[in-house]
Amino acid sequence: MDKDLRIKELERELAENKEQTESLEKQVCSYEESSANLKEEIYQLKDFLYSSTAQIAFLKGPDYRIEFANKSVIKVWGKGDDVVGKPLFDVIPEVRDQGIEDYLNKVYNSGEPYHARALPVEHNINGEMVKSYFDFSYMPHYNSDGKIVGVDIIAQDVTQQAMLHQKVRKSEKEFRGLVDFMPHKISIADAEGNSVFYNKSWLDYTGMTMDEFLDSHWTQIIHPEHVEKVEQELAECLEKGKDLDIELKIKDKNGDYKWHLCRAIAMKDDGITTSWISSSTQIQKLKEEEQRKEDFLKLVSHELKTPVTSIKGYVQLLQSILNSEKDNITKPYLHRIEDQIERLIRLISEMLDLSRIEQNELELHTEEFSLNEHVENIIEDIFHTNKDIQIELEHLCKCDIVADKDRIGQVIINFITNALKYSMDAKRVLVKVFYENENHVAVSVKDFGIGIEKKDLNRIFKRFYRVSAKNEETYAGFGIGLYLSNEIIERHNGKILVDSEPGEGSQFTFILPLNQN
Amino acid sequence: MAKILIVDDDQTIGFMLKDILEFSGHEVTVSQQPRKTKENILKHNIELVLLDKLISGVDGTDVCAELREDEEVAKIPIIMMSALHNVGEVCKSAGATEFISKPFDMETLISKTNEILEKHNNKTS
Repeated sequence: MDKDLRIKELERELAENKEQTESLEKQVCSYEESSANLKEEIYQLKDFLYSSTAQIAFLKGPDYRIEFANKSVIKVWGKGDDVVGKPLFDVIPEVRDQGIEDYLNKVYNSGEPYHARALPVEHNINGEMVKSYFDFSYMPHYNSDGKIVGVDIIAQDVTQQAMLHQKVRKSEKEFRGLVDFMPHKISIADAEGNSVFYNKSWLDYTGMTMDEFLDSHWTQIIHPEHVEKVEQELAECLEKGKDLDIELKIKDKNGDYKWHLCRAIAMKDDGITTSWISSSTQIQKLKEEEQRKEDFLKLVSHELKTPVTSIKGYVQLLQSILNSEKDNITKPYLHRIEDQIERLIRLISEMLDLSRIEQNELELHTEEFSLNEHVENIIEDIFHTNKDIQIELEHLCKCDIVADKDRIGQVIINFITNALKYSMDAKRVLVKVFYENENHVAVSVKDFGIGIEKKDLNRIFKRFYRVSAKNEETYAGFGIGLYLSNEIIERHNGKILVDSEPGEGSQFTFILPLNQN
Repeated sequence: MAKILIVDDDQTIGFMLKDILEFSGHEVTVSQQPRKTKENILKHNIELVLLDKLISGVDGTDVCAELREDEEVAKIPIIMMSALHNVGEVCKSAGATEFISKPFDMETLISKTNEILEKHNNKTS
């Protein structure tokens, strides 16, 4: 029994052992499999690290001996696979003094990782120093005891991005320079229309600093009568993303409002407004010219219609008289008609002269004549139509000249009629003919009228310019008489001199060379 | 026959109007000073005023409106004239009895003048 029992026990034990052995065998198999898998994984990982585009290196010990260096980092260093096992600074000694050793020491000694962005490093590639930019991470390498045994390097070559960034910065600097250099006022606003930048021209014009300007509201510098209109247009532009184009008056640093042409365009990304660029150009002078031109045109119609009205009236009157009476009282009326026709002709010829001058077509028809007689005749003619005036003529010399008689006459008439026109009540005019020097003769016309302000002296020869008296009263005429006179005298190689005192009167003198050749 | 005042800064126009109106039997005074219009009306016992729209920088409509507001001369007929065609309404709203644009017909001027004088005399008599 005991024997049987013992056998059964042994058999059971044997079966158990067999089971255990089988299990162990299975386990060993499994370990072997795991080990092979692990080896495969490590190989894959190493292969992955090796062929990664990032630059990866593991450095061991205080002399930073290269334990692992991937293909990418070896390429950057400009070396071969034989670098493994050598100290880093034996392989790339040129980077030691570029701060790299300090960073490594810091990490090795402190255990603190170090990261850097776009750090420039120069490598010696076949004797040539090549500069590249890297994003760096230096990390401490621990052993199983938790002790720092080396430094792991992961870097990414960002040279292209860095160069691009530099280019963008350079381009931005150039554009800013350009924008500041321009006489136009340039500003940039965000999508909501809030200004974020004003160029130098804006700051110079307003006398504000960038911060002051950005803090102030734009309505502060816009003429009150334009604010509402601008607000409306701006709201519409912001809402619809449409360009702005508006003329308005903007206040300068002295508080004066000047006309500007303001334009703004929406900068869009995929159809959505991201910002606004605006340019404002001063058009004050243009506006003034426009105004003067308009005034002039109004005046033309008025001035031309007046004599026509008069002529028409007299013609009709004469007709009535001739119908009712057989009388010779028609004579003075006929004379007046003649005067008006003369006036009309003069105005129209002035207009023609103006266009001739502008097209450089004013021709001179020169002849020899007595300047004294010419002046005398002109004064007589003027007396003929103006009885209540006093013109004193003084001949200080007798002189024959070669010139365009009609044109010179035009200048003398212009001087005298101006003198009378601006004389107010005292219609006294002094005319002198004299030698300016041995080669030049002169005619001066002096009045005792309103005179000319100093600021207006250089403007009176500009076309369409007309002097205004007190109370903004203006005087009849096109404002081209002196402009024409000046042109005529200049074409005779002469010049016009003006001497004037406001309230005292003016003296206009033209000087002509005696020998035109 | 009536006493008429012409206010126009253009002398030739003023005298032309004077000649025409005198020829048709009126007694005419010519003035180039718009600011003295009331003074002239009273001084010469004027019955009708011919007033230019723009006289030496002064707006004739202002002169017209001032006369209309002045009791002493408010009822006097005023004919305004201008070389601008489109200002008739402006002149009338300033109180002008009539507006004539330049250049005008002598017949129109005389007939309008006589018509206005007649109406005015009927009203006052």
